[in-house]
Amino acid sequence: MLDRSEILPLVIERPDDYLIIAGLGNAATDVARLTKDAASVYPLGGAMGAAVPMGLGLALAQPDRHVLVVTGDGELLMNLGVLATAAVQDPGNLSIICLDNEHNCLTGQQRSHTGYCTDIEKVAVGAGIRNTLTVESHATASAAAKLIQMDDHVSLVVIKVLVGDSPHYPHSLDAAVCRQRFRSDLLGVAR
Amino acid sequence: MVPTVMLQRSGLVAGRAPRSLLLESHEWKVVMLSAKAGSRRPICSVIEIMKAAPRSRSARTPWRGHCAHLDTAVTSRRYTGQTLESGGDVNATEAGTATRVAGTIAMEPSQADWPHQIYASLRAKGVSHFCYVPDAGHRVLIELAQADPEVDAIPLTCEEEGIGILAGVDLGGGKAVLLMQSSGVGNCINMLSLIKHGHFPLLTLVTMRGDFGEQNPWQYAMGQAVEPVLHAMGVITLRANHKEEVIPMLDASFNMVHSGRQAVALLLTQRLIGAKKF
Repeated sequence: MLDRSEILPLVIERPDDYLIIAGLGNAATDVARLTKDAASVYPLGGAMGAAVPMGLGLALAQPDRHVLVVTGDGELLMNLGVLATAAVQDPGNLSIICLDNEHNCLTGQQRSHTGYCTDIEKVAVGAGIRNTLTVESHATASAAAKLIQMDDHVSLVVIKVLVGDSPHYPHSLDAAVCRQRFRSDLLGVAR
Repeated sequence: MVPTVMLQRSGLVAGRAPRSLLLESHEWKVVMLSAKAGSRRPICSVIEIMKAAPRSRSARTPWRGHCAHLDTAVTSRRYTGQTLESGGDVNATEAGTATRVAGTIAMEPSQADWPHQIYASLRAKGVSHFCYVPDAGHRVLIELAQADPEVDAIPLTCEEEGIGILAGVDLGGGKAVLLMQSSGVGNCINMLSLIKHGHFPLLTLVTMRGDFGEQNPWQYAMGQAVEPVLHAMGVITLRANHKEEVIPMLDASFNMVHSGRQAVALLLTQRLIGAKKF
């Protein structure tokens, strides 16, 4: 299991290249740190299961931009069906990174299904996602970095990371402010 | 099995299913057949008529077809815009769709226009992403979206995905709509907290069950809970009971969503869409 603060920058080599949806909890904190709370990131603070659907909608609406979903295993497990929906649509500009520490950290670090027997990469393959990879060592980080840059199909990378909370990095928990900030940055609109 | 008219014309292969004809990129329209000249009462289900591509045919080119339901030939001698006049004792009227499977209440042709009108209106307003869980009440809208190369028709495994997708489309500057049945509303509840807290625009068209005349007892719990649930999550509801209300309510809903920046569910009630017999 890897240190998330070390491995994430090795997989997301150039965060500025992406429009990012960050799932709640540690994933949002990690992405805020990586991007210095950039306006091109939409951080979730609730609505578990929303990260991949939002990434899918954003990827379909902005086919010329790379869209990245960064979320945890708990958030992704909340809505596995959307992997099938994403696979059927298959926008090549969409990539999904699952930071899998096999626990639900926000609620007291209970073991999640991936801590027992569930393999998210295998679920994704079964759902029809064509480009998948699990990163369990630094050696596969660069392969993962290349995978998420590919434009041919939806990609999904599972990164096995150590359990434990990421050090705090401030980011807004106001969903409307984040929406306006994101749209202003991307589209130049005021609301 | 929905009876269809199979167009038999040079250049098209007789006997193939309409869907495969559609894949040949021929323009298609949906008409109804009535029993005798001048009658406006529909007796056939969805009919698909293929016209050849505009470069090779004019709108006035006669077509021939066969109605499996009536087991009769249908021909057009003249296309005059709204009415395709046919030979024999069958008239074909271009009137949108009428869906009639065993046991449904027959719909008047005037009531059957609204799915096409909804689709045309949404497209004209720039909606290009149609999320749906397959639903009989939305069958026409779904088929129109699937057939439109300019549109993403997005089947969902669960309605809650549509809420997230709509929010993502909004972040990207696009416009989307969620088509679902009333039973799917309950699957959306927590995801609607994203819409409410984020003040995202949301337009959903909900075909109602557990409503006027419902005969499946399973549908009542969620059908009757649709409005309380949506209201609890900050979604405004409008109810369309009659065909003539649909488009004005759709226009109002769209403006409330995209100018007023509200979440609106337009409920297409069972007075409008009919109730299945059980």
